[in-house]
Amino acid sequence: MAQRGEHSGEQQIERSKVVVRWIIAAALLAGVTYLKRQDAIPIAWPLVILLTAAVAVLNLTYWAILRRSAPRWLKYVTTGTDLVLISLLVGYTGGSASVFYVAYFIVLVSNSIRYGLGMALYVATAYNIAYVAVLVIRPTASDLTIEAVKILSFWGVALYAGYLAMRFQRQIRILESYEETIARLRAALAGPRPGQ
Amino acid sequence: MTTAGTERPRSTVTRRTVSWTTVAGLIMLGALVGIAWRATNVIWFLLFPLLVVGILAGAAMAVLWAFRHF
Repeated sequence: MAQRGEHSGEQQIERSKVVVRWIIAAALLAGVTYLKRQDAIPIAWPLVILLTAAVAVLNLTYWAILRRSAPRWLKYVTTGTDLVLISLLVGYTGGSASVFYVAYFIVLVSNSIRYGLGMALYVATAYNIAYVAVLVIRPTASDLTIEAVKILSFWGVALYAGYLAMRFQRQIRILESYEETIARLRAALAGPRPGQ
Repeated sequence: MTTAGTERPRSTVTRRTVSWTTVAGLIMLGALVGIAWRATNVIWFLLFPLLVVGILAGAAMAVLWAFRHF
């Protein structure tokens, strides 16, 4: 029963992530279009269209899956594909110097707050691998120590966000137990008293 | 204390385990700083997840032992 409730909770979370993904994709598309028209980023138009189409197809697929239920693996797949798409965008818009690097943090904070420390570690690991792939394909001209610090800073944010989410979840559980106790005591007070 | 007829106490983490884990965590911290400072190839950065989790495990073990959590 509790597992069923957990699954419907995940379904709700993933549905809201689909909505947020549309909004962020639209914002990123607007940003890419503006910067492309200013000749500030080297990405080609077909690639912009391809990335946008990929987001749209994936989001529609997730929505179709979520109409029935939320499989246990879905949250990992959605987060993984989000990070891969952001890495492609970062890779094609300047690599380590890309202005879209901050989009990684949206995925991190959004998922850490929703799912807790375990997901924060998963996001940080996936980001670490994806960003190294970006740096391999688009080598940076600057010192590698700067890139190492960027990756470790991301780890720091992930661990702190995950820790805060864990504390928040614990407080919610305590609050729920208090509410149950209050409900039980109210029921006991409303019931027939001994000797009456 | 264990007495006849009673259940043996559950095994807890020993001082030796904590010492080894803490030392391993410190070595991993050194490796992390070394890679971040001196790496000439980004592929080395793929070790960060292992090192960060290892450092955290070592630090958590040491802190919990220091506060007599186990």
